[in-house]
Amino acid sequence: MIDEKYMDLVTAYLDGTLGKQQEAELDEYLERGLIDRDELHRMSILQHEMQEMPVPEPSSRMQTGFIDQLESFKKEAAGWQQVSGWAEWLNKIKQTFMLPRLAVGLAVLVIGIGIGSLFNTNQKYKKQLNQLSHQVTSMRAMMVVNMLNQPSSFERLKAVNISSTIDHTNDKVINALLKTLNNDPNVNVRLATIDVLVQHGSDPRVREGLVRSINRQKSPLIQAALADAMVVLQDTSSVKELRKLLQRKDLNQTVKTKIHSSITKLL
Amino acid sequence: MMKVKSGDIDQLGLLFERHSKPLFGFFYRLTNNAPVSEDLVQNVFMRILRYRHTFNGDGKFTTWMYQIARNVHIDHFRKEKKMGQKDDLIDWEQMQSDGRNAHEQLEHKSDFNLLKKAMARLSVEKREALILSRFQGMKYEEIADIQDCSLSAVKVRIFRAMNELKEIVANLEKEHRYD
Repeated sequence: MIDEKYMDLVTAYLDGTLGKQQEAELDEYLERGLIDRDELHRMSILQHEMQEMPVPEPSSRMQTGFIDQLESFKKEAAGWQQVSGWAEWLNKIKQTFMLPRLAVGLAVLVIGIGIGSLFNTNQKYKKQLNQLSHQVTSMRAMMVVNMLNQPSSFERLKAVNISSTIDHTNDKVINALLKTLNNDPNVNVRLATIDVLVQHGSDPRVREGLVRSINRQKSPLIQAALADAMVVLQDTSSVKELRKLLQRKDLNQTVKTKIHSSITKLL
Repeated sequence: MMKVKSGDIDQLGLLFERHSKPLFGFFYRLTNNAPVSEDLVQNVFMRILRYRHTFNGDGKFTTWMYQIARNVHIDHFRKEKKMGQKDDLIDWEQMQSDGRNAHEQLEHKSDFNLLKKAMARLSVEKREALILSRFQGMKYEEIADIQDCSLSAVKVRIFRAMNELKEIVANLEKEHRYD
C-alpha cells in the first residue's frame, strides 16, 4: 500500500492536477523507491477502468413512474384542500396502512393457526383450522394481486415469488399472473412469472394462457423460456403457435434453433 | 428548485429531466441493479417534493439532492438487510442490446465484474466518496458537503478507497487464477 503521507501527491497525480514542483517531488520519491512505481501505475489503471465501467440506460418506466407519482401527489394535495379534514385523514391513514394491516392480519391468522393446532383435539377444531387456512390463502392471493399492480418492478417480482408459495390455484392470482406475463415491461418479472405458471401447468387455463402468450412476446429470452415451458408441459397444442413464431422475420437466430428443437421434442 | 418550493410543482419535471440520469448512474454503481436504481431515483424526487420547504437555496441544488439520495440509499440498504434479501438480478436485456460479440462481452464482463465485486467490498462511505468523485465528477468540497464531513476527511476516504480497491482487485485476480 502507498503510504498516506504521500496522499496529496498521489491524489493530485490521479486527478491530473500535479504542478511542476509536485511532479519533480513525485519523480524523486519514485526514484528513491519511497513510492512504488508499480503500485502507482496499477492505481492509475484501476481509475481508468472504473471510468470505463458501463452503466445501462434507465428504462422509460423510470420517467412514467415519476410522472404517475407526481400526478398522484398533485391530486392528493388538491384533495387536502377540498375535502374536510377528518375524512381525508382517515382515507390517507387507510391508504398508508393498507399493506401493513394486511401483513398484521396475516401474522395474527398464522399465530392463530399455530395456537389452534396445539390444542386441536376434535373435528370441530380441524374444520375451523381448514377455514382459517383457506382464509390465509385468500389473503395471500389478495396481497399478491395488489403487489402485482405496484409500479416498482422489484415489488412485482416479490409478488410473483410469493405467488409460487400459494398451494391452491386461485382464479384471481392465475389471471393476474397471465396479465403480468403479457403486459409487464420488465423481463425479469416475466421470466419469473413463466416459472410460477409452469408449476400450475395441470390447469388447462394456465396452459392455454402460456400458449397464447407465445406470439405476444418480443423478447428473445421470453420466447425461449416459453418454448422450454411447452416442452416441460408436453403441450402439443403449442406447436401451431411456435410455427407461427418461426415465420417472424425479426426472430433471433438462437431462439429459432431453440424453437425447432422444442417442436421436435413435442412431436 | 426555488419555483418548486414556492408551489410550482410542475417545475420538478424539468429537474427530473436534468438530473435523473446521473442520479440513476450513482445508484446503479452503488447497487448494481437497474430496476432498484430506477425506484430509488423516483424516491429521491418524491422526497424532494415532500421536503421542498427545507431547501434554503444557500448551497447548490445537486448537493442537496445527493444528500437526499444518500439517505434514500441508506434506507433501502437497511430495508434489504432487515428482509435478508440479496439483490442480484442481472439485466439480461441490457446485455443483449450490447453490440459486442459474445466472447468480448464475456471478457469485458469478467473484468468489470471483478471491479464491481471489489467495489462492493469497500465500506459504503468510501464507495460513495469514490463514486461521487470518480464517476459523478464532483469536487472534493461538494462531496464534503454531501457526506457532512471535512475536506481532508473526503481526501483520506478516497485515497484509502483507491488503495484498498487496488489490493482487493489483486487478491480477487489471484483467486480467479486459482479457480
